[in-house]
Amino acid sequence: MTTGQVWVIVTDDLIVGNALAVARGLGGPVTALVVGSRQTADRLAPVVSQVRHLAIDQDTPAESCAAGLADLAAAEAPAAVVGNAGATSRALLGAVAARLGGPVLHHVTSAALKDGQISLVRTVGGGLAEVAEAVDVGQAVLAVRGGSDLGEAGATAPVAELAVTSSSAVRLTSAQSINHQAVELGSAKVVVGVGRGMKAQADVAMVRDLAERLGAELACSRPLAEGAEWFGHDRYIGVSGQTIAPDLYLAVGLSGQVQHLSGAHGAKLIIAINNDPDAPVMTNCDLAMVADLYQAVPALTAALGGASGVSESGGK
Amino acid sequence: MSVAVIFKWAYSPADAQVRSDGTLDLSRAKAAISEYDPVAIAAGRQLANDLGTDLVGLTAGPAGIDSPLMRKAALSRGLDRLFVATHSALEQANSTVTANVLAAALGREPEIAAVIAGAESVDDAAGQVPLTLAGLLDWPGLAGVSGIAVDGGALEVYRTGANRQETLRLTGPAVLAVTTNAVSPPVPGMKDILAAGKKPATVLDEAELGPVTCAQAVEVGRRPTAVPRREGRVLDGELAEAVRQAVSVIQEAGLA
Ligand SMILES: Cc1cc2nc3c(=O)[nH]c(=O)nc-3n(C[C@H](O)[C@H](O)[C@H](O)COP(=O)(O)OP(=O)(O)OC[C@H]3O[C@@H](n4cnc5c(N)ncnc54)[C@H](O)[C@@H]3O)c2cc1C
Repeated sequence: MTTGQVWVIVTDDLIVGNALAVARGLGGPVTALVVGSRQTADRLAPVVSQVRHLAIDQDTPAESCAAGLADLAAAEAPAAVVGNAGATSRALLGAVAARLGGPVLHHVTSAALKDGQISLVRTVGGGLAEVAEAVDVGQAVLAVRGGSDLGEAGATAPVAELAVTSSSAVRLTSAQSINHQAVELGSAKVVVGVGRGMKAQADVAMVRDLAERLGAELACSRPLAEGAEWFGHDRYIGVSGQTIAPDLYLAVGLSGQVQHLSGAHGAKLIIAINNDPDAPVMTNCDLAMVADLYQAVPALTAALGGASGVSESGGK
Repeated sequence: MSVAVIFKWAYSPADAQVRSDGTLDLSRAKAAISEYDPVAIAAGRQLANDLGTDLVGLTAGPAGIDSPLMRKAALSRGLDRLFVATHSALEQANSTVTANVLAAALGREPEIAAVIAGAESVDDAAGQVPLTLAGLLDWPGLAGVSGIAVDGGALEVYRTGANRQETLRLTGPAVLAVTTNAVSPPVPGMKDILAAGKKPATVLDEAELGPVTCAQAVEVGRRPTAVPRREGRVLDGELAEAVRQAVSVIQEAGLA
């Protein structure tokens, strides 16, 4: 049995790898509804059955198509509508859910068709628990975080241009790209994460040295990305950010609140460096180093430098 | 005209324990204004000042959320007045139910310049309610807003996304969810807390708000998230010794 059309809403951030995976799990043909550039639409063509492109003008934010998209969903009644949890995607999903009269379910990790309903699993309570839920076909609006790997390319699907009404109540008057190097933390083998224990942006260099020595990706807690803007928004770990599963997570100068650590449970080994022995991270790690990061990080970098030259293990 | 700010009275999962059946034990948690919502109230205050209007707060929940403590906590943060929308549908609320109740309550305000919201609630961490509310009101809904300025009859909105910075212009009402650090919310002083007691709070109950019809997801199972047990072994000795031990563990794991 198939579900009928499954929609994946795609905006120009393109972080829809996991949304696509969840959509494919529903068994029906996957249609990408791209609200953004033609380039984004073309990127989707090899990984879905059909692409429908809602072209938007230079001065129109994707959000102005929210009502138009909701009208389309009401008219065509897809089995499920899936998107990522980015700001723009949430606006589009919210408008669709408002029109369909059902919830937007967040933190979804998997979904399947079962007994004529969509059964899904998602995390709740800041990542403390997992719930299994069932929702009627046609009422499932699912938000799935993360994933820049869009999946294996197949035959190139046709891209259909689509016109929907867009609101003129909001206009984009200027836009500037930010040059943060994109990163895929999910597949990193070693991750070094820093938090607010680091006092100045210039100190990132010190932690970067350590990360380089370990061949690690650099990551952070939320306030250093959203707020301090020292890191790109795709570099913070946690319930609202990235999920990692490395062999080693070195957590430096971060307290390890539940919202942060719920993105790091998959790590094989967690080593924490913190000058507060009572920080939550110290009881949620494998090895706790009670130390000032400004001393511990350079010392660790130096020690690893010596070690890597004579290492017999050579890495896996 | 007024500026409205929506906020949530919620428990933090940081104070919760998860039971073996996956339910949350909140006996050690205290409800409070959700972590990021004071930022929204402060941003709303600024906008209301710039527009020369009232700032009205709105929260929604089951009847139990209304308490003198909640009212004071909200009103001491710079609201001029408060609506407390209570509804039995919010005993098991999903984001669309909540948005429906908020929309019904906002219908009590004759003219709203903007609805301001926080980034995400501390318990759900989803950031969905304001955007679904925007859908219901058929207003633009923008999240990730880091600044709001008044420009003649329009609002200028700044936001920082994952890979770009934008300036947007709004010519009508909108729902704006601000970033976690859009402004630094002041800590209420004794004067603010005393003044809060004199500010008006209005309860809007189910009879006034009307019924909410919304599909629900039905829970069929629940369990604690699998969290590996970790020893938390403290590396003792001087820094050099602790570093030596850490390096040896990293090497044993074949990672250096
Ligand atoms: C709805 C919601 C969602 C959230 N989602 C996320 C998320 O996805 N990811 C996330 O990271 N956070 C998230 N948070 C925020 C989270 O609750 C914490 O506030 C945040 O993770 C704290 O960041 P931090 O550890 O860097 O800072 P802090 O909590 O301030 O910790 C800094 C740590 O550094 C230590 N330190 C200070 N100086 C030194 C030094 N010289 N040497 C060594 N150690 C030092 C301190 O002892 C302290 O433990 C969320 C919050 C909410 C409400």
